[in-house]
Amino acid sequence: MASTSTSTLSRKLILKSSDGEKFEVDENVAMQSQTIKHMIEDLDDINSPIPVSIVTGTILSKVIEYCKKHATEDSDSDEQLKQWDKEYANNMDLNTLYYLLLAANYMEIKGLLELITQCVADMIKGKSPEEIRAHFNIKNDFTPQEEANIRNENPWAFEN
Amino acid sequence: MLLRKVWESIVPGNSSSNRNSATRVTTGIGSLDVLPEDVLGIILRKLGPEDAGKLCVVCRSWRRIVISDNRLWINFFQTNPNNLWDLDSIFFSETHLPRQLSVSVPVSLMHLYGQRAKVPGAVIVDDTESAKASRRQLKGAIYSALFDMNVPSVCAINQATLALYAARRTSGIVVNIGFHQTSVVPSIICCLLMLHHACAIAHFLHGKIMRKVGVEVVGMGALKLTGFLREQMQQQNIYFKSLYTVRELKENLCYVALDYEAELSKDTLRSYKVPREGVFALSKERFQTGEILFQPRLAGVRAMGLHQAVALCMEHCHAAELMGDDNWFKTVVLCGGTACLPGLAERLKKELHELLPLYLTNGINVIPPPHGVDSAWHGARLISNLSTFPGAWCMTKRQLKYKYRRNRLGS
Repeated sequence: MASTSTSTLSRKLILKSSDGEKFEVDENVAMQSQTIKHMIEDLDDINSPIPVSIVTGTILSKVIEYCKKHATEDSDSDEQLKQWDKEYANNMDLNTLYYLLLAANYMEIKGLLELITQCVADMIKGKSPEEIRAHFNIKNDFTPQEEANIRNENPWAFEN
Repeated sequence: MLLRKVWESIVPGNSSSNRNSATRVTTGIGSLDVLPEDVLGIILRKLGPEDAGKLCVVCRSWRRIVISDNRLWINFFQTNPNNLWDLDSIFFSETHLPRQLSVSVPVSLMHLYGQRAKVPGAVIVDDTESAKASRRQLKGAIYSALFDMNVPSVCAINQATLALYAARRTSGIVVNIGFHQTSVVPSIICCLLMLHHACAIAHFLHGKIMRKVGVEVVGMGALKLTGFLREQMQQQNIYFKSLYTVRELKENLCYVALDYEAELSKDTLRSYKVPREGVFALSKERFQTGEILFQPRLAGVRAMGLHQAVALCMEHCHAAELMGDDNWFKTVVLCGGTACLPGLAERLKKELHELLPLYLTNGINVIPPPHGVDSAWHGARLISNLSTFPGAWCMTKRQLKYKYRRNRLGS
């Protein structure tokens, strides 16, 4: 890629997922993760694989996909990037989203964390409690009386 | 580490039934189980208050997470587009102001938020110790607010009380320098206030605020001060168009001297430009005007000075021995437009020290109007921000009708 080769730091890093899969990425792609950035600072041998201990290979490849897109910021307009983000998030199933969230949180990738939390929030927004339970597979552990009480205590939340 | 624990409890690529039974024991929010609470917090922030509130009925774990996240609700308070709520004052009013419910339930921020989301009633500010005639006027005002303006409920609270609240106090002596008169109101400890408020308008209208202890009313108010300044200006052949000009000069040039005699020998000439009227220059009138509060005879009024009234009030309070703590009346809160005269608080404090024995003046605190002329408004805001408001604070149409009917039967 033209844009990555022009950057001053175009060293390659190897990231190793929890299940042993290895990914070779440009340093500026990996550096979007604050966690990896701090790891590199403490690392003597840049060529040894960097363990991303809690992220599986499948998820890590998705994370790297995101980071690559956002590392080459000059190629796309903001509008296009947003569109890309949207499609990226929409193509995930719920399970993948959660693990991506965990990975983004662990790897401290602010943009990705923002994107996915917004995506989950949008799933909750505007839904009734029953719909939320169904969507996220949550068991209602209130008695009908308890549930009615909570509703009565907070009528403002159920106005629309 | 916790994160890793959570992670380990979940086999990647698990079947959902497996995971649910394994992790519901700890959190139980279904498929969101895997997420650490700070990530859930980020999601909640993006939801906004209504949707976050809705999550409370989904299940116990969500309820716990939503309610216990105080930072989340503070965030909602701060970003609420309709109201720029001042969190400090909300906390003050919630923790200090009398609560109508005798049971003090620990209030969650979420609960407070929900209360604020309600349409508040209106607060009508009553002038302290007004005569019966103006009390009837107030009744009329409440009536028209309820029925003509269609306000859901009305709460009439003494202006002095509101000023006290605005100064973040619940007891003390309030010196209200009103339009016509000045009243010194020993205002009461929380519990007593509560009684008054609970009985709503009736008791306030009858000015029962610690009347037994002694409310001092001095026939000296803003009107007298303005009148005095007008006379002084007329005597010096200073031409002005209206009393409004005089009032504006009073508000902008006048002050209270710490030592009246000493001030007389100083050069105090200062000018002020009244828009569309020109420049006015005043010298000793600047502090003589305020001085009539302390020396009414300067204006030819036979009344006691402000400091004497406050001192008297304090002595009564002390003698009444209302509370175990007999320091409550050492807090003097000034309110009313005239009380904003610079130097008034300092002078009052000094005079009180000269007038009263040491055991009374020790630790005395004179607080100038906490928010200038808007003290009462700020106090009212505190009350209207209370989670128990409107509730028992206010009178609704039905209650008012009922009361009138009862009054008629009684009389």
